[in-house]
Order: sequence, then structure tokens, then C-alpha cells
Amino acid sequence: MSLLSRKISELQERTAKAVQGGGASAIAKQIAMGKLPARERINQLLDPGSFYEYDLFIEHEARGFGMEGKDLAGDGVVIGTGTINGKPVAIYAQDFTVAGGSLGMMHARKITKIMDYALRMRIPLIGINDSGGARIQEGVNSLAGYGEIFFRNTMASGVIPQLSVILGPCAGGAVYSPALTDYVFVVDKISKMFITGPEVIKSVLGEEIDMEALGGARVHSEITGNAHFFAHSEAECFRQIKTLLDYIPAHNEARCEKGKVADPDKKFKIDKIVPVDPTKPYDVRDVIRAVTDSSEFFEVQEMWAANIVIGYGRINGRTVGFVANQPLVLAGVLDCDSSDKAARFIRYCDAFEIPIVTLEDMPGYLPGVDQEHAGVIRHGAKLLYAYSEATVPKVTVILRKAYGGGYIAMNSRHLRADFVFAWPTAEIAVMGPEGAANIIFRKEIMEAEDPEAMRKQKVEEYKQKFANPYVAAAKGYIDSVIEPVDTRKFLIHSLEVSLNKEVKRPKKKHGIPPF
Amino acid sequence: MEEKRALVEKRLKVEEREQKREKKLKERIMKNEEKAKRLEEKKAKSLKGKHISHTDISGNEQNFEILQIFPDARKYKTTYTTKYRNRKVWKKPDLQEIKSVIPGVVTSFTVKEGDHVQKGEELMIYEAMKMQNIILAPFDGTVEKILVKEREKLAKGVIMIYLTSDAKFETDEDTTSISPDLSE
Repeated sequence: MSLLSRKISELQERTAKAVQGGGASAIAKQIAMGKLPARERINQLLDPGSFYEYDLFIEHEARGFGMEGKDLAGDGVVIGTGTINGKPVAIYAQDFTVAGGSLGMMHARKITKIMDYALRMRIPLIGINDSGGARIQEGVNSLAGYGEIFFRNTMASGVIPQLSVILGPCAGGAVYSPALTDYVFVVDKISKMFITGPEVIKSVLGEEIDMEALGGARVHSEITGNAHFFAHSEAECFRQIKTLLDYIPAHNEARCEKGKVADPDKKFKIDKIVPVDPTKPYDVRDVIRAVTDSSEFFEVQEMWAANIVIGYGRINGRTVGFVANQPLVLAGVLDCDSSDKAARFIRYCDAFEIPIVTLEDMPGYLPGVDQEHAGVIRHGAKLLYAYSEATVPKVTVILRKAYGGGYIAMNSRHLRADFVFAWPTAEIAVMGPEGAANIIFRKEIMEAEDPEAMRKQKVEEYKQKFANPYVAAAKGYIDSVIEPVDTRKFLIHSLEVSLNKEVKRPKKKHGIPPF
Repeated sequence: MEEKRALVEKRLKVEEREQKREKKLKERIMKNEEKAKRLEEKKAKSLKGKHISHTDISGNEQNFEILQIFPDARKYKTTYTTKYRNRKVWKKPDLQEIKSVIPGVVTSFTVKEGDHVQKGEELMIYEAMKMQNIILAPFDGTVEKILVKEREKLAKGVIMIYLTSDAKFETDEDTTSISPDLSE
């Protein structure tokens, strides 16, 4: 054997040993838990054969506690670059089979290395989290590692897309990296996220709860809003990632790739979806599908605060972020969660130059002690802030109800919408006719012989006069009253004319949004 | 031999006591759960209103609930979210209920049921977050009932003592009137 081939076979041996991770039995355990090994996950997510791994031969830094003699393959994390749908991405995946994916100093250094790379090359960063948490034996070094990751997450925020995929436990301080990133993907029964686990909660507080009920995928998708995409399997989760990356640009100065232009599905008859009676519900997603190319709509945070719908679609090939009130759920009211949800999405679209289309049909803010005490003022203000701040093309279509504070908040002309269109069914007023009539005609109603009949008459009067789009149109607050069937046409045109929109803003370091 | 037997008996007794305690605790928890369930059902009933079904664009039938956000105004047909359905309906707190404000353990009671206390007198010691907290009487009153045991681990908001106030206490829903004890 020549010297060269001996050297090469040594490399092959070393590589073969390192890619085994925690060994066959640990991998078998991982599979028994219904989870894929780290490299398998990467291979399934990226284009076949496109993955290039770095830092394979990293050695851990743990001293003492009997750690010196231990060999931790790659220090429990796989990093590298590859492509998804032909577009480059940077990726890291924690390997649970190696010391439970625990984060030590070198483990963190590998992650920060690929993060720096992603930011420098301006390509999306995907992090697959599957870790027991900090490696206790490495003490404050592992805390330093987390801190370095959080700082980079913050610096990269709004520059490159950062996707966190939770495919296992992610507990304690570790949860803050996903929380700082743009999108969090979870898989039913596999993902678990919490600050303090069930055992601590039980011993300190006496509350008994299991991991799934405390911080499982469903909890974060439905109750907390920490997760953005919920999947039933890892394979479905990877498909969601690919779809999302198809809609969003690679970095904040890149434009989204143009998609195939195609008419919406004929099934979605836009003039038949919305009932004229403002108290009747319908699924606003059908309206979105009636205007997007091929009726495709990729919803974000589908299960949380479902009274507002957010997500991506394409109009004439161009990616658009949709924000729409959902009359199907809680009558489409604005509340703490829905304001929070929409505001963050708007800021994302603004950061990545994605135009925003707002579909409005909401009766107002949800009343209630729980809402007021939960800080609906502060949360509601986020929506006003986000819309006002956004400089991307902003188009609003008022389908039916646009009342009070909600009318202002939902991308009104006053918050600098570029185009505001209204359907003939729109009702743009300070409040609903019933409430308004009760206040304005209070005296007449009280003094009438038949107060109920008078009330009805006054409500009808108010409805005739104000519950329409023409009062607002008369003041130029809306640009056009349009027929529902023309909606797509108007959207295509308005997005086209605002393609080179430019807005100058006063110089400042940054604003102070009501976080 | 004798000693050993005595020891075993003693241990058995302790065990029995423990079991009894646990059983009682469980019963109490069950009772509370039942109560909560009944309340929940009642709440759900009052919120639900009429169910209306409707077929969506794909022909699936859907059930709806009613939401009215202004008095005497429109009633919207819609669906509720889990969070909305489970929201806590606010109730005016009964200040005579001395509750645990943070999770912790009951250390000891200074008073017993039937005792009369003056405002500022010590009622009990409650350990929470590694601190011995002295719980004082917020007003003059009689210890009507002690609802927890010493060394019991408590969550936040558990009623520990019911202290009946000497002065008449407002417990109704009227939020505008302030009782004399609170206004001083």
C-alpha cells in the first residue's frame, strides 16, 4: 500500500467512525423514539447529495468529572451547507445520540461557525434542535456557548431567514434560540419545549403535568403561539420547510423568486364566498385562495389565534404576505394574540421586502376583563406600530365590517396604506349601527312611546346612512369601491405599480415598539 | 424482639396514617375537580347559545356559536377558540379568603379555628421561595375555617384560611363600593 492510499484509508476510517455519532445502540434508541438520526434528517431535508459537512473531527472541551477519556463524535452536532430546491442553505443538526445532544463549548462553536457563515454568505440558516440542554460538566463554558448563539440570532434577524426545527427536547436556556429566530417548526409527539421541565415544576410548585401537556407541539401551536408550523411527522415538517423557503427570499436585499403565473381555481367564486349579512360567517382563506395564483395559500400559525389568518401566496407570480380577519373564528375580532400574531408577521414581510395584502372584515376589539388585564392595549398597539412602520407595498381590501379602532389598525389609509379598496358590502364606520344608534339617538329612543320600535327605526336609519363604503369614499379614505370579482385584477395592478416604492423615514437608531 | 415489633407496629401505623392522609387529599382533589367540571359545563352552556350549522365551500357541514361584542348589537355566528372557551371569567375576590400568593409549604399555624384575631396579628407561617413568610390578619375577624394542613405543599391561589370579618364585608359583584376596611 502506498503512503497516499494509507493516508486516505486513515481518513476514511476516521470519517466512518465519526459519522456513526453515538453508535449503533444509541441510534436504535433514537429510532425507537420515532426520531431520525441527525444526518438522516439533513439528507432528507436537503437536495439529494447536496450536503457538505464541516468540523467533523471536532473534539470536546470538557475537563474533569471523568470526561477526559470520553470520545464524543463531532461533539454532538452536525454542521454544513447544501441546497434546497437548488438554493443554498446553511444547516446545523444536534445529534441526540451523542451525549444527549448536550451543548458544550465546541458544540456551540460549531453552531456559531455555521451561523457566521450563513450571515456572511447571506443564505438561510436552518437549525435542527434535539438536545438535552447544557452539558453540565462544561459549566459556564456551555452557558457562554448559548449566549454566543443568541447574539448571532439577534444580529442575523431581519438579514437572513432563520428557521428553527424542534425535533426532540429543547429545554431551559436552549429555547431562546428558536424564540429569537423567524420560524419555529414542531412535530407532534416529538417536539418538546419549555423553560423548566415537569419534574422541577412538580417539586417546586406541586403542579403535576407531563411533557406533552406542558410544552408539546400542540401546546406551542395552539396555546402559546411559540411555534409557526405544526406537522404530524418529520417528513411533513421537511415539506413545510421546503414550501416556506420557496416563498421567501434568501436575504433581506434579495427579491423573492417569481413563481408560475396561473389563474385561481374556478371552485373559489369570490362573489359567492362572503355572505352579505354581516353576522354570517365564512372562511376568509377561501377569499385568499380566490385571488392567489393556482389558489395556493401557505398559512403560518394556523392553529394559534385563528381569528386572524396570516400566510403567503403569490399574485401574478410575486410572493405576497396576507393578513386577514377570520369571521369563522371569534367573529374575526382583534385581541391580544391575534394582534401579536399579525404584527410579527407584518414586520417579517417588511424586513424581507414582501408586499402585504390585508383583507378586512372585523367587528372590533374583543371586550372582556381577561383581555384588558392581559394587556390588549399594549398588544393591540403592536399592530398599529407594525403597519405604520412597514414600508413595503401595502394594499387593503375591505370586504365587510371595518369598525372603530379595528378599522384604523387594519392597514388603513391613515397608517399609510398605498391602496385601500372596498367591496360594496363594506361597512366603514365608527361603530356598528346598533351601538351607534343607541348612543346617538338615546334621547329619542327613551322618549318614544314605543322605544323598541324607535330603536329599530333609528338603527335602520343609521345603517342606511353610514353602514356603507361611500362615506369613507367621499373623504378619499378609500381609493375605489370595487366589485368582488375584480379583486384579483385590482391587486395585480396595485402591486405592479408599487414595485419600486420608496419611502424616506426620519433618521433613527430604531423605534421602540410596544414589545 | 419486643422492641423490634414495637418499631414495626409504629412504622405500620405511620404508613397507615400517611395512606389515610393521601386518600383524603385525593378525595378533596376529586371533589374540587368535579366542582370545576360542573362550573365548566355551566359556563360552556351559558356561552354556547344556539348551534347553527352551515356548509362551507367544500361541502363540509360546520357548527357555529354566537358571539356578541356589544350590548344590544349584532350576534355573530362564529366558532370559539380553545383559549377563549377556557378563559377565566373574572370574579370579584372575596378578601376573607386568605390565599397563598405564591407556591410554597405551610410551616405552622399560630391560630386555630374559632380564634378571634385583630388586624396585624400573626395567623400562620408559610414557606415559599426559601423564605419564612408570616401571614398577618388583614382585618379584625374570626378564624372560621382552616382549610390546609401543616407541611402541606400548596400551589398559588389556594385558600388557606377563611377569616370572617367583624365589619360587614362586601362580597357582591359591585366593584364601585369599597368596604370600610379597605378604604382606610
